[in-house]
Amino acid sequence: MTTATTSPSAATATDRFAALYEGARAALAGSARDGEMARRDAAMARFREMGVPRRGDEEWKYTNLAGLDALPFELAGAARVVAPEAVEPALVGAGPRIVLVNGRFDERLSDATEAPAGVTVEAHVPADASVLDRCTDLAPLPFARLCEALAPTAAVVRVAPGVEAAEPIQAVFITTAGDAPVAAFPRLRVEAGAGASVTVVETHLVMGAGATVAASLTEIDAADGARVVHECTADLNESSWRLAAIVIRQARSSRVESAAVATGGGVTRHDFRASLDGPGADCALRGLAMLSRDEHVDNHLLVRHAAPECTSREFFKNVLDGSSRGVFCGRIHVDQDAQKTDGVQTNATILLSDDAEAQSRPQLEIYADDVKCTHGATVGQLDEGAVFYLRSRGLPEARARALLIDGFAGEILDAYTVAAVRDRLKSALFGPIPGGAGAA
Amino acid sequence: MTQAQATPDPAPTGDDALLESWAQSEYKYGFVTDIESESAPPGLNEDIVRFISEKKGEPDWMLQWRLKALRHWLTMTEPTWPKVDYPPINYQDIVYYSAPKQKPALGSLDEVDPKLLETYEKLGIPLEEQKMLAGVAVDAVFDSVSVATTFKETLREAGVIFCSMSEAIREHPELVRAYLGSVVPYSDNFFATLNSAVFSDGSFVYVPKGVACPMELSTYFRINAMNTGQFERTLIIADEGASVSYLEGCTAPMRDENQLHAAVVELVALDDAAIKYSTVQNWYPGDERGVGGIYNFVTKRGKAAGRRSRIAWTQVETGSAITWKYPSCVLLGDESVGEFYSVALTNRRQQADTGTKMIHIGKNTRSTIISKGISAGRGQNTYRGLVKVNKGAEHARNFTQCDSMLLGDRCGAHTFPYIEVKNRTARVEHEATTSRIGEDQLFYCNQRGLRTEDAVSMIVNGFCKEVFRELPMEFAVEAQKLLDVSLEGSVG
Amino acid sequence: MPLLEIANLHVSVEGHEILKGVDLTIDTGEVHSIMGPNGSGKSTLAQVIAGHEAYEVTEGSIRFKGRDLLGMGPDERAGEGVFLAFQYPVEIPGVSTNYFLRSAVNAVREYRGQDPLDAGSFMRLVKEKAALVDMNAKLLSRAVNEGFSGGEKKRNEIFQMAMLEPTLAVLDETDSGLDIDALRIVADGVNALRGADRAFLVITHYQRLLNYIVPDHVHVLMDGRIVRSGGKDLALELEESGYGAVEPAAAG
Repeated sequence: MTTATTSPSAATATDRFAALYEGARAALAGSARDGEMARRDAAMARFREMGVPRRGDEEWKYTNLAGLDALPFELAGAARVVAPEAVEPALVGAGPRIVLVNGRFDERLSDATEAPAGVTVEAHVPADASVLDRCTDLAPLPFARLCEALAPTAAVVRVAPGVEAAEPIQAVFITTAGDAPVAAFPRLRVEAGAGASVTVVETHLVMGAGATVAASLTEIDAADGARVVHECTADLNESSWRLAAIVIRQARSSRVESAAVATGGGVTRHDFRASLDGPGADCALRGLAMLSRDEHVDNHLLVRHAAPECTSREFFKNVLDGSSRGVFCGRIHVDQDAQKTDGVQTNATILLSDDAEAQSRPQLEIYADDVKCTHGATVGQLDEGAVFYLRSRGLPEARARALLIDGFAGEILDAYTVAAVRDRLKSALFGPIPGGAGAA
Repeated sequence: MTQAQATPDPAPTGDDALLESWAQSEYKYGFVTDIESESAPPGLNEDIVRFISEKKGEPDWMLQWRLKALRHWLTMTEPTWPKVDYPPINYQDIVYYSAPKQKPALGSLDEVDPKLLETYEKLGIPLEEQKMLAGVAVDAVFDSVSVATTFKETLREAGVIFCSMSEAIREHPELVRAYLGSVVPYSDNFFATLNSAVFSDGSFVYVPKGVACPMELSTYFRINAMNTGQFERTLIIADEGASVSYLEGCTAPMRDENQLHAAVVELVALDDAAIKYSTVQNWYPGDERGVGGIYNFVTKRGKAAGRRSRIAWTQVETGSAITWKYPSCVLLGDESVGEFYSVALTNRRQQADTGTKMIHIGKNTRSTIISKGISAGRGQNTYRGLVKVNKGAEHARNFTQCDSMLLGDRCGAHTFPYIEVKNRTARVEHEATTSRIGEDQLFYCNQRGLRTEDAVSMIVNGFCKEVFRELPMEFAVEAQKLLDVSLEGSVG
Repeated sequence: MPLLEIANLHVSVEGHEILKGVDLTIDTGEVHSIMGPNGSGKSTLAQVIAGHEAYEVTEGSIRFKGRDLLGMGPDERAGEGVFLAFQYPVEIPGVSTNYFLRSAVNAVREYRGQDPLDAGSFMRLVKEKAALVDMNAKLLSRAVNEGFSGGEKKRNEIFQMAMLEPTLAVLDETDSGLDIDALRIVADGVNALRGADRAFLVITHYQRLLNYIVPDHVHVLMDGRIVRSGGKDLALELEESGYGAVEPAAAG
């Protein structure tokens, strides 16, 4: 085994993550259940094999992680106390709620007592990572492995077969930033039994202004005929790195919708992976990045049609201001046996400033012949004709532009089924619009 | 100075085996011309480069450029990102120079080796009367050296220079020095750098200011001689206000060993100039098991250097075991225009990774990409394209349409576009679809009396129409036939 | 020998029986009409005559000019002289109507042992037949049915019928979606093609078309069987009283 070095001058981020693991291993082992440490060690070994992606890695072409090397991060502290008032604004309703602070279960902030029969919401370390394994058949996910190794625990939502959870279940992950950079490993697992139905709201909050690195892993496992709606939001700070993997496995006739909107933040990377393993599975992924300053969002997705007659829809939009950068890289992969696949993927970007940049790679990889797959990508600015039209109806120019942007982004936001999440996002993105109208 | 010894005999050609394989071949153009050739020993080093340069009687600046490329190439590694699979190539096993024995100064066709002419006959290349009547000048490249050029007179009257690259290096060094490597630098990529070191021959075209080239220019390439890599180098320059249309067509003989082809084509269009470059590529694709076939690693790039320059690439790629090719446009001049029209067909075990790059640098630049990929058998067809809008490229426009058609369930169709935009006034649109021939379409055609095979051919040709109509008429007809031949037996 | 002889025809689609024993005989020179409510199996009958593979014949036979039609592929049937005017004509992107038709005409001619038409003769024929249905010449240079209006598609079908000179033409709800002017033009085209050496099977839901194409025989198809047959007056009767009132008087 390599000797771990905990010196803050560790050469690379890869080494530093390895050192964090060595440092935390004893404590993790203290509470570990059977086989857990072996799984953690294996995950860490896989991460180390891959390391933090370097320049030249095609999958990370537009997201430069070199900045991580210069960040002397340590594990986010265990003993931070967060006041309930600080969490309150992020809560979306009366349903069951689980809160993890710096990766640890916070009993005071959580409230899962009201969970209906057949629904469990609890914190524990999952006994496997089979969804992640399945979703990395085609391409690895280094940070997801890192999270598997280092997450102290996970928020686990389980819905028994046939049970419909009426209220959305919320999982809140808080990272407390301090003077020194911290690393956190939020992990969420959603297991929906056959015919079950559940909506899970995943909320990430960075509290404080210091630098944070969060490698998060969300695993969604939908059994036959299950329906899962997963809506993810993240309130970050300017010096946060969010490296998120959302991995989804779908059995026969299941439906999963997953959406992620990032507001603020430094560098955000979403890796959506969906494996449609059962015939008739239906998957919808959505994303919106409205960026300013030098914010950076990279939405990567790989949807694998592994069974016949599956449907997938991927809609991603970017509105880029300041010197921000919006990246989209989506791939629909159709296996040879996945006949009658129906896949549609679109990425649309509006550039609002001279210094914003957009990169888009909508991809199809198809090995079956009886398929209907399309993708489209557009990059442009706001339609000046439409701006003029609105102004001629009496709207000031700024209002006219805001209205058009609202309409553009609305297509993604309006698909959020949890009203409280949608409203929070809208007010975060658009603020109160003068005159009141047009915000709906 | 050391000089590599030319082998007195051509590399062993295994004539019998080849004849036999030819006899069994389905590939129409699979034959090998028995012609004395003079080859370098296999392998690549400075001595070989010096040998090539010396053989061609090149000036020292050319040799130095080649050596610079070779030294750079030795530091490079073969790219692995294309979606193609092939056994490792041993670059030291390849013969980098092979020329038909040449009589000095060929004034007319009569002086050309009759066997060569016979070869072209078999290929259906009417080098003489028919072609003349058709008004096409032909610069035929056999293996590595140009052996015949016609229509020089007409072109000379117009002031157009159309000759072999070797001749251009001797006769027009100022033009070659000014433009060679100005679009594809010697250090550009693994295969282009290899080409820069060892390029054999190719075509050179210069169209002077204000001249519309009076005829379509055409060249036919053929690969011959065992283990001989082909490293054509073509340079076309259209001076201010000039225009030219250049046609390239290829066939290759049947053989069991894979053959490497790494060409470089550079186009330079100055203010208000237009260059249209069309290719029909029909090299040996290998057999059903994937044995044999050409490896085609080509770098083609045009520089729209001036205001309102126009560069258009049209390609119909039905041959080769492996195609790695991205004819590109650097849109440097304001209001310059780049176009790319492509049909790529993969059948049997062919693999194609092809597309284009449109680099928008000047203001109000426009580009159009129309790509049609057809996969059959166990073919793998990948579109890979880059649309890049640089910061200063105000009001750049791109439209990309990228369609795939699958015939059969063992093939693959892949689309990997890259879009990079750094100017907000740009407008970039990309659309892609994947389809197969509908059963309802086939039934409709059958009901009107058409056999299924003819219906498939008709539907596939319809699918490619937007590209075919960009081809000069005679090429369009050839291209359609080629698709039919290439698809034979792929649909039941 | 009758031109078309359908006997005890049973047809299934994906395991569902649609036609449950159809008998129908058509002689050269006759115009027959099949009427019936939606879902009665009218279009299935048309598709089976033309040879669509999705329909499985489980029992019975179809003979055409005394030969077994069911053993032939759809293109062979076209060569034999069977034409189907589709209810929903198919679009073929990138293939011009002209090119398509010339290929079809020459394929059928080849089947019939005739020499292919050269470009000049073909264009003369096109001109002549296009006039028959008032077909806009511009449409002929456009891709087959692509971007055609509903009426243009139907006209194109009749135009193709005229070009291919079938012995038996089956018109599958050619009147659906047509306004009265278009209907008249289509009917005029059909009537111009009526003759002693040709028969028609006109499938329709409404009697309206039969005002313009007057049939010799009318059959009512319900639930996969011909439940009544009669002369042209039967169509008028149906128009007045509806399909609900049909008594299976002439059921075969």
